[in-house]
Amino acid sequence: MTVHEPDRDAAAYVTGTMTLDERERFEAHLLTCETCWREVRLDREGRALAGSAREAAPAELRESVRAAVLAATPDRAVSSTTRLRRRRDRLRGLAAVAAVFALLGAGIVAHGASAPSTIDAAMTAYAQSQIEAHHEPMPAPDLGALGMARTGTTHIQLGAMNVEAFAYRTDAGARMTLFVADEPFPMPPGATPTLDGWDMSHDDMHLMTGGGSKQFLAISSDMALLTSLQHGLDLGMVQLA
Amino acid sequence: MDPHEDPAERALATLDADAVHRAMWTLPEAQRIAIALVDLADMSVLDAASVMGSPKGTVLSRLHRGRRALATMLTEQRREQTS
Repeated sequence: MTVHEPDRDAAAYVTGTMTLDERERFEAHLLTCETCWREVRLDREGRALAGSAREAAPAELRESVRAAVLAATPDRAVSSTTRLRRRRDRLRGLAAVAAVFALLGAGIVAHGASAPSTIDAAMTAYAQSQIEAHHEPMPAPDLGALGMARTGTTHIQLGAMNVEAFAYRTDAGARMTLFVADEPFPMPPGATPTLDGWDMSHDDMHLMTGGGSKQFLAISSDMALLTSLQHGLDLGMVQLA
Repeated sequence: MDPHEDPAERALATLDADAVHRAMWTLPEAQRIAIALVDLADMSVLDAASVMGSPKGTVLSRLHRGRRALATMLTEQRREQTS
């Protein structure tokens, strides 16, 4: 700690990654440095708050999260790793993190007990704009003809289902998330059956499912986007796969 | 109220995990990932650094800025709720 970096040092101190020697020197420094003292206090507070969110997630969920992330980065301890391999690992790691967030989100955000966990997780992913541009697992459906530009793609697990998730946005800023899977999305209580799936509205979100060999679940708070998607699919302007 | 009470604990008493989680989604992605890995998934800072492909010091800085933002945001929210 020859260089004074309050941000880094506060986190290292609170997280407990300092050596005994570093720790003693930093504690001596804390007595005279108002800035570091304040940053340590805020760091401790923020860590406790994040911890309270963690408490809401079951222990086995946290364990599966860590396992998923670590499995995605097998070479993490190898110091001689090439830059290329590290980049590849990093991308895999981030994809795992995206999936992991869907799990944590589903565990932490308590929706009513009425909808199956898959749909809860899907709504959570939509509500929190979780779908980020991490990788290209399958060709993304092109919704340009409907005025929707894709803003993110990922592969995530919703409850027991593995799905591809695509986020879209209109010029006006309305968002829609499209989940695509090989099996139908489970119908929650309160949903209305349709010809090829079901529709539902919940917490200002509209949900619509359907499809053939590829099943989809679309979520948006703007009903017009779902109607537009339905028309696009019916008219063959839009393909799911 | 006990003046010696830890401010972090006091904040926790009035905020539910849902509010924390929502606040977490407003953080820049790098900070959010650092917090998710270290504070939510209990990973070591070194493991988090390799997952994120960043030096340990960078991860610590992100971790701190994220935690500080959470503390500031939620203290603010709480003040609005009680005023």
